[in-house]
Amino acid sequence: MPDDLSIHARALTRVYKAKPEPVTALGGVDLDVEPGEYFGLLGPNGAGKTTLIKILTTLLLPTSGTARVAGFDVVTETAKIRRVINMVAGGEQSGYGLLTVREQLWMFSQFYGLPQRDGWRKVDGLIEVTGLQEQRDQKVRTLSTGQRQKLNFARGLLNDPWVLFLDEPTLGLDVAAARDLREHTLAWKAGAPGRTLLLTTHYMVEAEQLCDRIAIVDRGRILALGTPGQLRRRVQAESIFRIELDHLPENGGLDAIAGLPGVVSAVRTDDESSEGAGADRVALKVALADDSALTSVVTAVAERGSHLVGLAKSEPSLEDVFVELVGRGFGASDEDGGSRS
Amino acid sequence: MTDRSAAVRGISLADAWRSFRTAIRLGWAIEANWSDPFLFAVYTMAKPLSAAMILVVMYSIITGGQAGKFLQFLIVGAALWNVVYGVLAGLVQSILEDRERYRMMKYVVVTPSSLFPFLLGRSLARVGVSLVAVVLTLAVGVLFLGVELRLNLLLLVPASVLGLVAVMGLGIFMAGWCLQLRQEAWSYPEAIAGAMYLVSGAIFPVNVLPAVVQPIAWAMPTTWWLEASRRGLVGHGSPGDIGALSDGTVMLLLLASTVVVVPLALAAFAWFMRAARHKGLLDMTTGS
Ligand SMILES: Nc1ncnc2c1ncn2[C@@H]1O[C@H](COP(=O)(O)OP(=O)(O)OP(=O)(O)O)[C@@H](O)[C@H]1O
Ligand SMILES: [Mg+2]
Repeated sequence: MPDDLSIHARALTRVYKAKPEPVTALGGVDLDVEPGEYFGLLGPNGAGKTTLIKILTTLLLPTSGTARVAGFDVVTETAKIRRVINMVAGGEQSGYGLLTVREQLWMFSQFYGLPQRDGWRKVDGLIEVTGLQEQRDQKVRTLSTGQRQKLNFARGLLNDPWVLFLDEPTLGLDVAAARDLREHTLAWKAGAPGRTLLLTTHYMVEAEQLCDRIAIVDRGRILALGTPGQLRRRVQAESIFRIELDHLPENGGLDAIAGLPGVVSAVRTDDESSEGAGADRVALKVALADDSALTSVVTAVAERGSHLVGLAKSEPSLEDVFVELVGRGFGASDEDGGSRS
Repeated sequence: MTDRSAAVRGISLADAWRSFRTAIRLGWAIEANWSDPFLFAVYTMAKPLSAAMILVVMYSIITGGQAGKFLQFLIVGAALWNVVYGVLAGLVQSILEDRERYRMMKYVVVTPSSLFPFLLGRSLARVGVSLVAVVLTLAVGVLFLGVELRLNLLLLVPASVLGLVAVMGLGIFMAGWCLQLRQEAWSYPEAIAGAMYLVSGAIFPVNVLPAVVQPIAWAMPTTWWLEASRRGLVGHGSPGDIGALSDGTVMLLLLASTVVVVPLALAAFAWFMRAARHKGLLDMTTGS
């Protein structure tokens, strides 16, 4: 049975030897991804996402547990796995600077065992798909970050992988380039049945748009797993309000609000609408067990010297699920990101 | 799943050959940095040549111009050592550059082609570049220093092939070892190459070495490669015990030491790769 799955992991752990004490990057992960599925890993920095990808792409050995990719064991059947997977990591400056775009891709086509002529055809096809025609004979060192990432993405498709691993593929890309890349990813899926994707990202939109199922991970564990709809329904029982204030409440601020009876969580969200509206203005996202708890929140805010400038009930988003499970918003560390009751 | 398994072959020889060829091309593109021909000329020609000349001048002064046969020993040794240095330093540099500077190593590792043909190909490109220095040093020796070439291809050709295999084996070993090192330790392998230079009879006859290191010299394939190449190039070997051996014995010792060293080096490389996978070093950037 596990052999029919694209990815199958059981009790997978990874402990890094590190200076003061060992770091447990993965603390027992169970994961099944079906062929043809696009699967997303969402989690804060240091959650263990890259570690999981490294193990599945045979770059790193697990400390314990088992994992199979396309039915092959990641520890013992690496040669077989490497034929059917590929990997693209974002946000890095990789590339043989002295080669041209075409040469670098051709080189990898050879490492994937493509016959010469097929290799060139494939390379030129991917250059077109990723929109690098103008740069095709340009040296890699002269490419911009986004162009390098497109090149990297093209390399990732050279061997028509069964399972593609994308580790934050749109990191550092502008809005249009990121959208292009997401579109390519979806187009790739449509190109043949059974193509599987494992994606890590910090962008909720990206996860929602690309993934059939999503796992939320933190501190090396999967906290929740399901379709975006299923995950959202987890928090549907609660009411979520977006509260805009002229400034952050004093003495205790967020923690005080989060600690009120009936409040499930309270975090700062810095979305577009609060931008530019005045330097001190803040937007909070408050999850309540019951609408009636709103009164005490509004009172508490007023008591702490803040004025309400906006209030809206919002539909739960993936981010709400994330905040609920992980206990803090994206981009916020443990100290300043609010807290849960 | 059986049909899927069938679609997944192991690494075939043809694949390895393809990677190897590709890597030679990449190695060539990177090594022979034609965009800066001046720098390239300095590194491939001027530097090795001046190193050889310094040795020659030193010996001439010490021996009062009576160097004679010893000068031939010296020049051939200094010339050929460019190949050893090119391969050893080259492989070490290749693997580190790939990981730390180009940051491509992880992408090469996740291809079905193993790092091995890739590294061999890159090092062969280095051999090509280092041959320029060999030829140049020998030419200066012949034209200005009275080196007389007495080619014996029957000896030179097999010695070169075996020697290259042995040197690449040592290079692969060092490359694997380097994968384990952090940036500050990168000079270890260079130091080892330097020690080999002294021990292998490149510029000192093995006889003048301290007694404790002489067995090492006898075990090194590089010693026998240099000795066989000297005989194949200038018609006589080095001074001392080693020079007194028959050509057949020298070739046999070269073959034997190569046959022992190369499999050991490959086994060590496989072990180093696994250790790197275990420690997560294949995509590390250890610098800064
Ligand atoms: N080579 C290493 N040595 C020691 N600790 C490591 C090593 N690599 C990762 N870690 C630690 O393991 C944990 C998980 O790291 P990982 O890179 O998998 O996180 P991530 O989910 O990819 O985070 P991010 O979103 O920031 O990329 C972190 O605490 C990290 O510090
Ligand atoms: Mg990561």
